[in-house]
Amino acid sequence: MFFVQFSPSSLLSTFVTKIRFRYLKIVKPMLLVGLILNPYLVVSASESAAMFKDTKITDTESIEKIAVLGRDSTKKLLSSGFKVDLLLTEEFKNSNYNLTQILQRSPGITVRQNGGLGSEFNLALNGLSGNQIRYFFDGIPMEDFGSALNFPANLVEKIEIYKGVVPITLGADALGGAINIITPELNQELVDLSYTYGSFNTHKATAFVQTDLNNDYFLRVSANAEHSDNNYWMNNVSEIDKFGNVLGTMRVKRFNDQYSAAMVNIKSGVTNTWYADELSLSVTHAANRNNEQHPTTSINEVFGKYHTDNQTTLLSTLYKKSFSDFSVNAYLLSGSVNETTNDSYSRDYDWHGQFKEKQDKAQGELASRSKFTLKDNVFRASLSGQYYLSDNSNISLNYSANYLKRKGKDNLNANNVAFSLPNWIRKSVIGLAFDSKALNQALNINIFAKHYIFTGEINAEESINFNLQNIKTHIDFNNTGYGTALSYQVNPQFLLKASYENTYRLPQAQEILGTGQYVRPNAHLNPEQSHNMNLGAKFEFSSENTFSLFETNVFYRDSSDFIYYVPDRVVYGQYKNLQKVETTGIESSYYLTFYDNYSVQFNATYQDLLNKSRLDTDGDRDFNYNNRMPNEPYLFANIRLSASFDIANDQLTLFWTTAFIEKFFLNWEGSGNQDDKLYIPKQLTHDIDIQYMFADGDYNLSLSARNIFDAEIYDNFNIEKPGRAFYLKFRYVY
Amino acid sequence: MFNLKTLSLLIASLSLTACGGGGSSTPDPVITPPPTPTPAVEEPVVEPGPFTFAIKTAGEGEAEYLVTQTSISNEALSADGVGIEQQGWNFYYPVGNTLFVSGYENFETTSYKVNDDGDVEKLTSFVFDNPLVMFGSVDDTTLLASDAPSDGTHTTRTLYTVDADTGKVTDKVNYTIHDFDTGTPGEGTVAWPTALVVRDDLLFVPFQKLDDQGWYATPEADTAFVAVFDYPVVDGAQPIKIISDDRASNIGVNGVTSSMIKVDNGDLYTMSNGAESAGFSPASTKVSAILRINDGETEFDANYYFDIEAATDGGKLFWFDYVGDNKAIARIVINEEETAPWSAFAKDLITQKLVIIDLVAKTVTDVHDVPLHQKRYTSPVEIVDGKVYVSVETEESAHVYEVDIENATATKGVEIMGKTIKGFYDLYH
Repeated sequence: MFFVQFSPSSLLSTFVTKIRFRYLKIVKPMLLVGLILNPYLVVSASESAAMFKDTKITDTESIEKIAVLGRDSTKKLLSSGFKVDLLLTEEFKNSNYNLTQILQRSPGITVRQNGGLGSEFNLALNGLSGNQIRYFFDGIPMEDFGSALNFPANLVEKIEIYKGVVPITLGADALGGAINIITPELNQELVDLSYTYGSFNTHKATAFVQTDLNNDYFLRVSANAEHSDNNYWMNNVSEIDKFGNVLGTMRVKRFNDQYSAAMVNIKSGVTNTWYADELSLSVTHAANRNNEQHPTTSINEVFGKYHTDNQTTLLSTLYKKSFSDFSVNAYLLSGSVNETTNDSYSRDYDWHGQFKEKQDKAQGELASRSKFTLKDNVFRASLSGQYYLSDNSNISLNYSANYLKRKGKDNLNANNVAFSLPNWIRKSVIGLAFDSKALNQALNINIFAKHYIFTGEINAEESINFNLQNIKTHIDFNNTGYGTALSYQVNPQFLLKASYENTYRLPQAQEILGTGQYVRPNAHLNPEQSHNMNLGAKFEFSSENTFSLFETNVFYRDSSDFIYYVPDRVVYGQYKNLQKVETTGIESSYYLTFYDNYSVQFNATYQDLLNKSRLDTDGDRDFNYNNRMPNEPYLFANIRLSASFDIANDQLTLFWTTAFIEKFFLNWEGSGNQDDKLYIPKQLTHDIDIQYMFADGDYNLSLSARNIFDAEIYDNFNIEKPGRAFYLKFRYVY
Repeated sequence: MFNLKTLSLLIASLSLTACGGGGSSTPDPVITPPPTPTPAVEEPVVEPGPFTFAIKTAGEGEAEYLVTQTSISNEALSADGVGIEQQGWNFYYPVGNTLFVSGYENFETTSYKVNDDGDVEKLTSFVFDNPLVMFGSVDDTTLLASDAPSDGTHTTRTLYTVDADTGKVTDKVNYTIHDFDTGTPGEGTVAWPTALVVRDDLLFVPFQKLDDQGWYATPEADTAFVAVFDYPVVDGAQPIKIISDDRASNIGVNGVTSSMIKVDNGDLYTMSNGAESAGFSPASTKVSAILRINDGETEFDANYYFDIEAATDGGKLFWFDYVGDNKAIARIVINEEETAPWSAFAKDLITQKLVIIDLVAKTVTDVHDVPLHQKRYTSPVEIVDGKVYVSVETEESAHVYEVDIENATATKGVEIMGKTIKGFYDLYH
């Protein structure tokens, strides 16, 4: 349970006052202190009370109160009816963590990764995954931004995780929830520099510098670069002879899995002027190169040169202003994403890194030689307004538009004509919400509706009954979803929450329009739909030397019309609405601190995903009706213990983290002899972090050991993940 | 593929009888004739079962299960709690008493055999670079397997030679079936092999000519082609000749591994479909037909031509396989009105009937009592006690049918609790 759940109650401030403010700038990485004693906040809070203007709080007499009330928006969020978890990255910034590692230690989330740093991953949130989950960066949707865009924890202040029910302010077609990555407030002077070195020749450097140029003007530069050879041991690789006969298994190091990435973001503008709370311009450029060791589903095919390159450039502008009884928020973004897949070597590699030139120069490593570039242009815009009807109620309206134009080109394989003519899609979401408080503010009600508009055009050389034709197809359809989020503060220790949304995930261009080559268009394709429900409760207890918090959430997802590719005519296929899945689950977390120096965090999730399709992909009777969905984790848990010790003016903190995922089957559980079934084995890993903070908290040095018992771990069938690894990280914060 | 098993069993039983007390440490030089009547005139005695079958319970890309049980006539066939799991979609190909399972998913072919305890068990496996899509059996001792990259580029094919006894690849060579490259994609053609048949020291490879742009177009659909190689095939081999016959379309149908069959006397028969519904583009103007290459010859027999459409009122051969005595079991696609490209493979078009073809007499006999059905893929059939077992899938359900080849009749058997059975195998005899 890394996320910190806040109560809106007075208990929090009780808790806060218990914290000794001996080291104002020292971040105690445990407890809630990470949030409350955030150094950025504390430093700037006293200087700039103005930033809290919108919280309508005037009492800033004590630093504690500022700290707490300064996060009033956070408080409001957590006490709203939305099932939202807040992960504060501060606790992780001193050690070697990236965002997916932070996310996967939260209840209800699994992140399945195909390897080490930079490898493909699939995040599932309460059973829904992939593009059913939408990501946002400071509220701006990140879909289609490509792999180059990655955010080290050091550039991020917190992560909001909306489970199943998403407020209209995040305007997108999120079927299973949304994850919003939030950077620090703009009007704080801060410098955060870090360097990490570790196993597999891993280097990571991050820099975050933010400054007030004069009163209103700010400049922020954040940059990061990382590299890893990812040359970790694979324990179960087939040993083969020259003909391919499998002789046994062997242990080899990965040799073509190097990953390098860099990103620079510069943001500048004004804050807290009469005309804008924020008006800013932001430029981002990111690039990466990712060598692939093998195809995503098999380690029997080995690559030595195959790789992808990505270049992403984004330009965005943002405007925010709160007036006395209304506020507005708007952004514009445009960007280009180029991703090239290189399979240009006619070589046949083995796991020892040896290769033979293929006799056939037309062949690459995977298929025909290819250098395929997909070029996406994206344009996004959003405008939202909130009008306060009274102190206790407001109404808000949001419009978000998302335009994508895609073009593809293969410089080596003339037969690959996918996206040779440009295609575009436009998705718009209009949201309307009413938010109200009643019963002396103990009851919080949010009701909302979202209207989805989806239009698009594909141009393709399409084979219609074997005649090549230039086909232009249009799509145009609408859907309306709705939902509600309720919370009730029964007493200061006890909060109840319930939320529901009928939501959609609109098809992607390729799904509805085909590729023009083998994928036939399906004009009748519907969006994926889901009824998502959450019911949760949160309890807090405290005594003189302890604080504990227990939260539990029951979730239900009734999802249908999942979009699958069905190759129904041998080489031709089309996307169809097929699966209906019902998910019921429970996630619980417990958090305990005592004597301010020790903490225990525990969370566990059990989820049951059942196939509710009566018919299978061919339209035949589905013999797996009501069976558990295969290849999905259903039981997982995390434990994190911490202890910190004051050594003179310095601080030593120790963390122990254990993660568990129960074994699950690759295919339908009931089919086949249990001893002959393919499965993903149980995962049990232990990590240690030792952090030492000195010079009044300006400097941090940490040593991390991941997977200390060197367990063989797999997220995906037969695709092993790294074994034991060590990382040393140095961080400077000012 | 007619299995030589019945024949070898016959020989085995003869020699066993002949040897009499062969178990004694000192062989008796005197051969005592058996008191029983000569077994040669009897039907070969093969105890039906245990049966091994490959069942697919769920959709196209999902796992398959290799199940072995003593009987397939008592209760519904299912993979519920039984069977060895096979990842994804697989080809199944028996050679002697070894079954090869070759998939797209994991670049791997696995072999199965009955172990000393009498259980079907994994023998070994081998990996490959491109999916193997065409198979052949040489004398029930050797598997031949070929890849055929499908995106139209001018690549050579790879031929694997595998020892069925050990499951090990013993040779792997590059070879070219047909390759015509003008430098402009769309103008040239490449070969898609539709069978691998060895007769004496020759390998016959019928093939379709596909466009070199990757559209699966068949620009020269109106001619039957067979590439003939010296066998064993050496690395870098080219055909010693390519024979053609313009009385029929390109030989074979995608996914069928028995588009050319060898009968007892060494004659080779080929099937041509040529229809849009079987993936031809443009469709052939030639009717669906069977051609013959006589034993000892490397040319089509100009005097043999079997017009399937005339014999079946417009039906087209979708699959056939040899069942002995110059007969083939076959599926004929009727009702061509509704066709769309590749539609004969689609689950929703129930247009196939089961027939027995007498290749020499040129007759087609409908197998009685088998309803119209749909079958996308059938692995080579085995004859067990004069019977062939087939999976018959209709809109309502899937059932096993026991086909009596001699009488062209069938008995409806138990229900298949799943989508399809890709093949029934006798790995015990």
